[in-house]
Amino acid sequence: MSLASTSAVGGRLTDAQFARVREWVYRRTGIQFGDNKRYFVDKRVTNCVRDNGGDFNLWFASLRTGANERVAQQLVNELTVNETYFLREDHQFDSLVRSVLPGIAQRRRATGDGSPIRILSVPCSTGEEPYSIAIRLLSDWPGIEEFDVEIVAADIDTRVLEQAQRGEYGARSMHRVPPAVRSEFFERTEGERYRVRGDVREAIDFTLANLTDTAQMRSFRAFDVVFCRNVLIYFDEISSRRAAENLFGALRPGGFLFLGHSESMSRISPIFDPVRLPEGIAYQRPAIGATA
Amino acid sequence: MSTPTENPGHDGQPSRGLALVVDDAPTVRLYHGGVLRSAGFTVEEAANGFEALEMLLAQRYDLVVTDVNMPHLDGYALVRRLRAEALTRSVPVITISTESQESDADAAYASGANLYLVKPVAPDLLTRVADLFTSPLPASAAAGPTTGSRS
Amino acid sequence: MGLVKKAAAEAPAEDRRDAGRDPEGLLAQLRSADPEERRRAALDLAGVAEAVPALLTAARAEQQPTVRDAVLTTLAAHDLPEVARELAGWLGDDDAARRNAAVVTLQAMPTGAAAVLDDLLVTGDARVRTLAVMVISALVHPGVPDWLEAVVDADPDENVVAAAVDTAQQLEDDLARQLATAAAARFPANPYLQFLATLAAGAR
Repeated sequence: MSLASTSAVGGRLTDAQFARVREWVYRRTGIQFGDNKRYFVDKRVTNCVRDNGGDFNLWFASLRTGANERVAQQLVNELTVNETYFLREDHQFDSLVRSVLPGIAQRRRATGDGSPIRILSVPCSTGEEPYSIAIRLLSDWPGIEEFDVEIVAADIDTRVLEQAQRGEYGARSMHRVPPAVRSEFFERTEGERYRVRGDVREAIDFTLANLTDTAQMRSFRAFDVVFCRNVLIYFDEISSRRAAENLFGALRPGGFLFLGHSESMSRISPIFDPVRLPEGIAYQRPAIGATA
Repeated sequence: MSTPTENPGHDGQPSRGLALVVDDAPTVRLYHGGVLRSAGFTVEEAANGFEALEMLLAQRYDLVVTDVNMPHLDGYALVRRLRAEALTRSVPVITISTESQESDADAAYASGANLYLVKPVAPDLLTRVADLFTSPLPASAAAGPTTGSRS
Repeated sequence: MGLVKKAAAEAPAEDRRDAGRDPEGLLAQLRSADPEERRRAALDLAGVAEAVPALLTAARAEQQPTVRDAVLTTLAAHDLPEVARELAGWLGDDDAARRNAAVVTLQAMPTGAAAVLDDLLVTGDARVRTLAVMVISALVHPGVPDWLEAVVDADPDENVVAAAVDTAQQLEDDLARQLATAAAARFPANPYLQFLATLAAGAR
């Protein structure tokens, strides 16, 4: 234990230290921690400081000067909860079925456009998100009777893609799934394990792609809606900026982008328009030349 | 929906309204925010124009005090976007910039800002103009000054 | 109707695009009349060192902010003095969006920015110096404290000095205290600098 005056004694930061960490985290991840998150942030930060020698100033200097990327990653990991489960952040799925898809359907009807509505989930991780989208569409959006919908799910990691395609989940992933949905869309395999219904599994196009690689993302085009949640926070400035450009390229003009609920495009790129939906903020790809 | 600017009946000093302070420097947000809090406003902060735009779309504010040079969406572009959106068209905006040239003031007003101030802004000036932009129209303001000293 | 899988017939269209992906083709596409084509070409030129001069030319001429941002996204990964020099020239631009786009890009280029900052910090235009400090405010570079100290010691403009103290405040207590005190002493009538000095003195 160090008794240096700059050590974060007793798991608490000074106001100035908290402010510096908050600003760094905002610039790096776009996440804003309010004063009400002070206890949470103090605790996680002091863990990081302790793991790196116990001196706040030295730790912050290595963070701020970029001397050690591992220090930065550790802090981001400590401050974010990377959990995935069915129907996570479901107000965004509410937005999808209540606001976004009805609008898209209306435009399709008005222009006589009979092409499928395209939805991308990236990164899709072990599949909970694309399956949640499919389930919400099939159970809560009457337009599914009228339109074809393609759901494409992409991830950089072949292991999670295999799991996603298998579509079998334990209690942790399933805890938000109501019994009626369980019985309609899942088959119980063994014990508390459930597998997504075969026709839903087969309807989703799982594919390998790295969000920050323009060449790999080039074939993703003309999507009406993209979900890209809780991943941009892990990227450095250059990578997140390129990822934003690739997402822009994946959307058709007027298409919608959903980020995670604590994420924002505001520190990454101004190329999207923020739009207010009844259920929250989403982003829209403007037509080039139409931006303010 | 109200801006409870005067309420002599309460000593608890209800908020004069909700203000958004926009600047990429946290210390500038602290300074402008502190002045407005002392003047009775409830204050929220945004670190650039884009973040401010998101917040202004999500919630109604009574006043915006914004810097000009900021990453991702500058102050002028922010005001232009606010003026183009039905939800935010009428919010009063004060731009505060380091730039003291005539052309900078022209740019601010052309974008739709209500007032252009040059840094550093003295606390009492910011307080006065914030008052001005959030007070009721003259017809009702004539009912009395902001202090309760009359009675 | 319902959930469907992507029709396999789309593949040939992608192949046609691949054919035009050699650097020569992309450089031509960078001058396309269609802004979407220019945007895609700029992004596809990622990592192509020979394309840097053409990208700089494109960045300078581009009128569409969205396309310009794509060009800058690719250029930002080329952390080179010549890229930084081009962007440094934008800091005096009358278009606020353009100069801020340059600032954000320079913030991600420590090597390039370091090559131009010494000059930028002594130009005659206070606005350019303010923006140079804004670059420093997010720059990951060991020279940051020295640049800030030089500004606070010598810059004739109180707002440029204030921006340097703002940045120091985000770094560490000792530097913030030192620079805030010096700045407040140089400009005793500036209420904001007095505020910063009080703030820094309050931090333990």
